[in-house]
Amino acid sequence: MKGIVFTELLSMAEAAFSPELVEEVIIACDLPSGGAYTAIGTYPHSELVALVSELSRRGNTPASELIQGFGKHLFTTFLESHAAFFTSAGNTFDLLSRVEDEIHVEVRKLYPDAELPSFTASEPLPGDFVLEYRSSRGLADLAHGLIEASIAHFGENIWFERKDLSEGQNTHVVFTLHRV
Amino acid sequence: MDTLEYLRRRLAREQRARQAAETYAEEKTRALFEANKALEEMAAGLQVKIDERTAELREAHDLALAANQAKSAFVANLSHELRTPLNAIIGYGEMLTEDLRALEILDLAHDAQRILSAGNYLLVLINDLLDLEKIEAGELSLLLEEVEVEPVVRHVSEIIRPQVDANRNTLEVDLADDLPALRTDNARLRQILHNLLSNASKFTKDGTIQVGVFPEDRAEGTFLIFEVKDTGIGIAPEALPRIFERFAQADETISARFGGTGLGLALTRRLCQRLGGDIAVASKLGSGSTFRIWLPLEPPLAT
Ligand SMILES: Nc1ncnc2c1ncn2[C@@H]1O[C@H](COP(=O)(O)OP(=O)(O)OP(=O)(O)O)[C@@H](O)[C@H]1O
Ligand SMILES: [Mg+2]
Repeated sequence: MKGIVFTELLSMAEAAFSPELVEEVIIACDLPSGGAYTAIGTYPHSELVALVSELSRRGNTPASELIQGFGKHLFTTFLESHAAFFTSAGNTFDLLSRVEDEIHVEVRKLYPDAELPSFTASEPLPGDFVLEYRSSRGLADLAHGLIEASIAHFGENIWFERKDLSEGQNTHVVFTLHRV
Repeated sequence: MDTLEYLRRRLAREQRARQAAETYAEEKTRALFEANKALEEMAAGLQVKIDERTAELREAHDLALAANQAKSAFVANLSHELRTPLNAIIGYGEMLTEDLRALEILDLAHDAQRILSAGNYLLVLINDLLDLEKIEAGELSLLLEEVEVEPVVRHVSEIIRPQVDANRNTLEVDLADDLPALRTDNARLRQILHNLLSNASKFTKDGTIQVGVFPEDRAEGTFLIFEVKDTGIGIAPEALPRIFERFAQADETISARFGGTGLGLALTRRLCQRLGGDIAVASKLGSGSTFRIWLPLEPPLAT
């Protein structure tokens, strides 16, 4: 898992809870990396799982809520670092449909070892949009948060449903978006 | 946890992260540097290889050129040496044939005639070879004059008639109206048409051979197109590029079935080019061939 995920998670948690709580979480998790993350490094996925569950416990927040919030936080981060892309996308449907073919392609050029989820987008009817998330990491909540943040960012009137096809594993989830 | 403890830990973490980032950056920089160096070395190695190969090629090229020149000189000399006795054979063969005919010793006259035919065939061959060598050495001189197409075509058709008839072919001639005269080498034009017609009659049986001549305006000026079309055996696509090379025939069976040495078209093409034109062929195996040559009304060459 790319280091930027860890550094952003910790900075979000510091703002959402407190720096002290984050420090205690790091100690409690007893991570191989010691929590000394750099954005350009790569760290085991298990550290992310440990951090999230410990943050959830000590922060008294359900893990799913935490990860969704993290999705929104990441959206803001990307918005700052890749403003041009968001301007060119213009709306949520457009943005989501370009994740797989444009964003991930670029990410792979920079980080050939990056493990990316797969996003399959389709527009079965005008005004409807289907996004299929697949990843062994089971981070559909992250996608959930990103989608919500995007709708808010573009100020669109869109509601969406979420259906888990992986028996609660969050590894295969279909989001259906309806534009009102 | 008190604030001081928190800050202490936080600082330690940041320091380690920075170190990790620096190590990472240094590793990447080193890897880049190594890759760059390897690339540079490879490029240098390649350049050396290219230089070596170029030198080898140049040497091989020079050798081939020298060998080719030596061979050309040899062929030219040899052909010349062959022609002298051959002319004697043909001359005496003619005399002998006539004498035997006059004495009405017809079976011997027939045999003598065969010697004469064989001698003539050899002479054509040697002349073709000599012409080719001359053209390639840039030594073929042309005799340019105003040439009317109609008499040339008629003359060649007459000469080729026995070969056309031998294979029971029909010869059709179609000249466009008001064909302009062209400035060219009369004898060479005949030689070209003769070669094409001799091929057409040789490779066609019970068929039709059509000769057509018409003008065509092109960017470089007006050209006369001479077309020789037959309904003969045709040429396989893979052989087409080869047939204009010297000593090349469509396949290995041709010389056994039809004779010949594969010089005719090589010479024809060189002659056309020397006269400011060229030759092309379209053919389908089993249904026939069309040879097309084009010559400018005025050859753009100093003679
Ligand atoms: N009209 C034709 N139809 C079919 N094949 C042809 C025709 N004209 C030429 N070819 C093919 O092209 C080859 C080369 O022709 P070219 O005139 O150079 O040689 P050749 O006729 O075999 O021998 P030469 O002309 O030296 O007596 C021939 O051997 C034959 O395979
Ligand atoms: Mg021939």
